[in-house]
Amino acid sequence: MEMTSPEGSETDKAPVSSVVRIAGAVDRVARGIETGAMVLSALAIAVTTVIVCAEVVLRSFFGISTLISAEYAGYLLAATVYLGLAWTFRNGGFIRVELLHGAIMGRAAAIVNFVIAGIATATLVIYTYYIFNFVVFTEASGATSIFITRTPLWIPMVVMPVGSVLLTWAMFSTMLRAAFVAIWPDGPVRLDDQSAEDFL
Amino acid sequence: MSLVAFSAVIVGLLFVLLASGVWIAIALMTTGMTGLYIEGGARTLLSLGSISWNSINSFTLSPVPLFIVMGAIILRCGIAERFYAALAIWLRFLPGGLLQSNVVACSVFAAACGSSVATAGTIGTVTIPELRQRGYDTRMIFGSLAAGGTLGILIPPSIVMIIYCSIVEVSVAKLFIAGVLPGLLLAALFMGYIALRGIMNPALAPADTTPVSPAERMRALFDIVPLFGLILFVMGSIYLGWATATEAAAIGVVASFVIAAMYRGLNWANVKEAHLSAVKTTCMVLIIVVAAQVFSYALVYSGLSRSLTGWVISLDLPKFVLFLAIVVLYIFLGCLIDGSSMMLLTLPVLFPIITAAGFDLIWFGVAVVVLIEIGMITPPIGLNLFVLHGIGGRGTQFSDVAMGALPYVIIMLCFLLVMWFAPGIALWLPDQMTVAR
Repeated sequence: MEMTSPEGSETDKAPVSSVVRIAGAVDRVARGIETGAMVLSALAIAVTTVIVCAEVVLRSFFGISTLISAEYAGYLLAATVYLGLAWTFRNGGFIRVELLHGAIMGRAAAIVNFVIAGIATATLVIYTYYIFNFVVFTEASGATSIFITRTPLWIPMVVMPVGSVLLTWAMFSTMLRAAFVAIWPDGPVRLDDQSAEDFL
Repeated sequence: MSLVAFSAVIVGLLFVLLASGVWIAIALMTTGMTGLYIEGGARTLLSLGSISWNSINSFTLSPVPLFIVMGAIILRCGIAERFYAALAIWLRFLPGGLLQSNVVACSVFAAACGSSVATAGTIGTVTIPELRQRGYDTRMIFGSLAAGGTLGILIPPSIVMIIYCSIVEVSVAKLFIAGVLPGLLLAALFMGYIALRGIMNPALAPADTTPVSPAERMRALFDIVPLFGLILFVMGSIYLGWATATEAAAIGVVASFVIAAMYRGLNWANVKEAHLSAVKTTCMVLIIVVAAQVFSYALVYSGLSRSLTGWVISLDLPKFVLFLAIVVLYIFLGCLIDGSSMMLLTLPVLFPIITAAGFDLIWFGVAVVVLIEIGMITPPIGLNLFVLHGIGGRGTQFSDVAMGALPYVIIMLCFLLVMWFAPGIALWLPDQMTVAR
């Protein structure tokens, strides 16, 4: 959350400022985790390149196969997508129709943002719950891949609940920020809910 | 709940969510989950895990981040200016002069880097000031840049095509190859239009009479070959069955590193930015794919998909009328939302209908891509128009950019009509393939 300490805050606003500071600290930790997940997401792309290139070279020049390239390319794509979701969202990577939304300004924008982020958070909480259950069920069932590696499927699937939890938090944070701005327009919280932040 | 009431709820909810500014992926997910809950209660939501996993654990989609990395490296390595200058030397004899270079440079560069918008921005930054200084017509400059850039999603490799294939389950290799001939023909039509305008009114594109030595021409070739080589390599390896689309993409990444090294553009900053860009774009697009699959499953589970298909087929519309209706729908939506989102929003509904109506899915894929191209240069949400307007500098009217692109929209619509009557334009090359993976 983009939160700053209010300058010259009044005594009656002190509790609110404390809440903002705590929420800001929690959000900074979350952003750190999201950035770490994004790094893993980028690494997954690099590893895919290496694995698939190795497959082509081995097949073309030595007539042998890694036997894992097709299978792991899929797993790594899932990791790329789910681990990068929250960071992508925070950096304005989610597309929306701006025709009406872009025309709303000020406090009204904060209220609209609060409502849509609230809907999104609710959807993601339910989604994450079922995704988590799905992975737990897969682990309990002992399901493995149909490929020669017989990879226990819950292992590559773990990225789904992890990514969903991070995205849900990012969305919740957006909702909170919009709520702060709607209630306290001149307060320390800014509405730029998708400001880019370069951690690297 | 009756199917009519269910459709009203689903369509109404999706419309309200999209219009109020909910992110497209979330809107599709919310609508899909609501639909599943209405029809089957909480137990149907148990399918969310398997739908998500099966749609994203996909060898079909795995080239997406790789092609984005390849394109991002090419975009940042500094080849664009030299590529354009080299093309200008070779194409200056054509009527229309540097405008012809705009079309060829944009289409080849966009195909290699995978982003029409980035291409319009990169090539536009290089060319707009120069062309203005030489007295070229403003509308012709913007039109050629906007339209040329759109061809990148038709000429492989194309992210939009990969996503289409993952939804309708056709071969990426075949669709890639199917896009080649239409892409080249459209480029030729664009160039023909520019030539015609140039001949009718030479003041629109003043000829460059600066002499060029044979040695300069030969040197220019060295700046043309790498990008053409990269695209030919990707297409050729797929066409000959030597590599799958994913393998071609991975080798393409390595090739782009080699090209970047040749142009002294291979450094940590570029590699890092390319991967960050790949993460962002991949997540942006593929989360909509996951959400679209949830939405699609809700439509199938409720029986709405089957009923709607049955209803449309019972109307006994001529196939051409159905196609026209789809064209009108896509042109309308293309004015409001971006191309891949438009495709993912509509395909869950359209896919069963076009299948039942007997459309060839490869041919339809090419037609959809052309329609998306049209959307990219149609106001008010024509992304290429925005970018060009932005880099056009002070005094650039948005209407000039939009009006400049309009003739190309008409050319593309006419081309769709030709493709309807001569489907071989899209289908002949893939039919010659012996291996399609």
